[in-house]
Amino acid sequence: MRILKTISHPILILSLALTLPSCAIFSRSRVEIPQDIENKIEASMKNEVMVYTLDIEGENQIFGNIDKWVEKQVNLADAKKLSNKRGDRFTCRVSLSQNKPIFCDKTRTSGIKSKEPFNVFFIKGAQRREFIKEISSPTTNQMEEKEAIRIGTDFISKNKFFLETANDMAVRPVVINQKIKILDESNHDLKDLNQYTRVIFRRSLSGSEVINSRQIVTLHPYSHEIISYKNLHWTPVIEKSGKPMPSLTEKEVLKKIRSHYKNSKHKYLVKEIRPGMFQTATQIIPVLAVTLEQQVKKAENQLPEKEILIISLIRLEQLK
Amino acid sequence: MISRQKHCYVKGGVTYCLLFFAMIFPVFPAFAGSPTLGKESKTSRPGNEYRSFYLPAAYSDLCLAECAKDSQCKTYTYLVPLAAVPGSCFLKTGVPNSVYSNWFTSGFKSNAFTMTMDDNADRFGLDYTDFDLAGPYPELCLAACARDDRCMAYSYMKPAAGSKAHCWLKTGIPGKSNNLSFVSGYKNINPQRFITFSVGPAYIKQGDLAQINVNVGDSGEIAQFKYNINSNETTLTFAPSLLTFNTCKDTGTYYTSLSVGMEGTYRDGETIIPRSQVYGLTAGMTPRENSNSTYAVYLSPDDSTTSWGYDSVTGRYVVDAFIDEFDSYTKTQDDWADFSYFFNDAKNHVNGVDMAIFIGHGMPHGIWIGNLGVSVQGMEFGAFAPCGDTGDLEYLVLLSCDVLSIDDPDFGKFWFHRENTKFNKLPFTGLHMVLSFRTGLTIGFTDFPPFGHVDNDAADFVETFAENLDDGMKVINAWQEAAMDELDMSWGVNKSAVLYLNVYKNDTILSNRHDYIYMNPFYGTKSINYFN
Repeated sequence: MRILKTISHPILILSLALTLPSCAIFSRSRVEIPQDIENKIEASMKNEVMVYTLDIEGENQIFGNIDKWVEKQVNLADAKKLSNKRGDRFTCRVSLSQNKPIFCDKTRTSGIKSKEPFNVFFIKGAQRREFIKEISSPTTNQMEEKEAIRIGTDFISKNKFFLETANDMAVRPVVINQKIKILDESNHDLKDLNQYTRVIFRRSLSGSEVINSRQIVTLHPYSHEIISYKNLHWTPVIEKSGKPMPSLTEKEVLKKIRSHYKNSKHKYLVKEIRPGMFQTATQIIPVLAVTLEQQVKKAENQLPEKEILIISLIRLEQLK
Repeated sequence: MISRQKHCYVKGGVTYCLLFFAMIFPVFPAFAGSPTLGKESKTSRPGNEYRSFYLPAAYSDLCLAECAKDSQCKTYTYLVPLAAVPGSCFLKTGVPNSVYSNWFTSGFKSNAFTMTMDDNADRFGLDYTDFDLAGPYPELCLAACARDDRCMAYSYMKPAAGSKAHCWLKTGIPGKSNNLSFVSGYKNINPQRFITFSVGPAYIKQGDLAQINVNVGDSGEIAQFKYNINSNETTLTFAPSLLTFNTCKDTGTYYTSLSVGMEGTYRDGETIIPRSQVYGLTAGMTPRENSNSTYAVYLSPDDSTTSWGYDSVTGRYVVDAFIDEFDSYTKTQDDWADFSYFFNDAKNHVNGVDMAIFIGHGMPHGIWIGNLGVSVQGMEFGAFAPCGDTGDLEYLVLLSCDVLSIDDPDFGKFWFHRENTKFNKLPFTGLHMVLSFRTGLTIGFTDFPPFGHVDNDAADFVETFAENLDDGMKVINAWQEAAMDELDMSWGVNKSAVLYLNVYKNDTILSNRHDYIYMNPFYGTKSINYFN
């Protein structure tokens, strides 16, 4: 009821005036694909595409390496063991009162001094291993990207968390800083501190990016110690398993884009396409990542929301 | 004109109809040129409101009737139903200027009058027209009378099964007779004796002290005045002007509605019984969390007007993934998306839980829910709760683009605590954290099922967030780690952020979670954890 009181009539009328016509205009979905995007789709289409089979034994070997490494860091026998509702994620939680820093950078020997107990998590799931120390000590120090990448690369390669081949490799690591703006009581201003430096490794298979494969090494920006490591959807492929398959045609791809939004009442504009690969439960398949922007009226002060539709370039029955 | 003969009946050889006619003719003379309450289509008259409410059906005459019955009302404005909001009625004390609008109907009284409405009563005779009604509401018949200057009284026949309600308009005021099939009333042009009441504050919340203003005509002649509020009956020898009622039943238990009934008897025996009213109380409508339990969560999974977060392939909303996975907290509830919750007092509904999750189009310092953008300055989430309880909303999750746009130089003007009072609730009192994004949030879908259970990376994200919470991670880490795992930040989007707010003086801190940090209590934003 309060809404009737709170919103004055002119505002209400204005908002209605803005929204009602838009509902009428967008009464059914329309996906607009600009000509240059269509051209790009056409150019990226091939008659045949490659599908790779996951090497489950290879994954077991890598996960075995990770498990052993984790057991060296914490005593899992004392861990609280948890599982999720679906039963496909298992977590060991260990409470520690003192930090035992994990170094991969020989120049550093002093780690975070924990003032209070903290948890360490080891999460196991389908195509997933995560080791996370819930410890933090924000600092004004900032790691150089090159240094972070070097330490991260050393860490995953020395521990054999990744089997690199000429065809399957980690490329273009991205460094993202997790920061904190924290209230400085001396001048009542927010000062910027660095909490974590995260190195995200991306994967290239036969020159295409596997868009959901990710390995992340988190470092403390001052002590350079390892705070967390994640291995997500990065299963090796069986050597020479690449199997050529007929690709969807351009027409089929355009139809797939449109049909995905057939029940939506909004208008979408295709902004970008990006060919790549995607790791499923058993294979790595070719895909096209299509970025669409949901159209909103500028007067509504909404920022356009983007969606990414990932289309398999092989037919669904071929996935089996 | 429908014959009323069918209502006559014969018993013991006496035609009761004759007796009946003798009783009612002519009690009051016919009256011509009576005051009216008009109906102006496509017209709004903004301002001078003293009461507004939703209507049970989309008839502007229901609003007109409410104005006609109320001596305080001079003008009404009716707003057509919009999206999830039903038809709305605004009553006004004056006659504001008119404004053209497609969505409104208005009208004002030509001269002061009120319409009465007596249930189970007929006023037989003096009919000049009759007609079927569009809906089973006696107010529609009352409104037809109020609009017509020839009409002095009306009778409404309740619909029998398979038939429509019927209405008779009358040139005079026939006497009243008991009849369970009828509702009737008359136009009171110069009311000497009347009893009306209104309840305030305009929007009563659980925990408020309800104030009932009583207006009694010829009050010096009142011999006995009875009233009941929520079944608590009281008898007086005079007419009061103000009654109060504490809507706190006892701590932790709340009335969900307030019913008010009155009966006044004058010295000469005339009794006036105004129509009793039931008011819904808008705050804390559901059971609140048990202080012995863990957390309660409310979710807003669906913003159907934007379809943001909806996967048309799976028919699943992103936030549903949270419900599917989350099991640490005691209560989860979905289907709670109503943008009005950002405005009205049902926010206390949210305040009674620990975590509220909303999805909608975002903007710096605000979120779009439904058709309306809501700035954080318009939100009132926080620690307020009725009846002495402390509200306990700790985590506000906004799955939206750009809400925590920390690069905006005005950021600090939006995100800070304001201290609530009982009647002046302000944003974020007692709130611990806001979990959202400082950049665009790009939802991803696949047209194939990669892992069997989800095919949507935003759904993966909220699912992982839920799983991280279940594992006992700090809330901030549960959010940031989930974003790191499931959302691709490499394109400059999907960068999540967590805003801490300063401790509120009465706030509680859970001993088993270390996610609340004390800092200067005079400043709102304590810290922001974000991906650069």
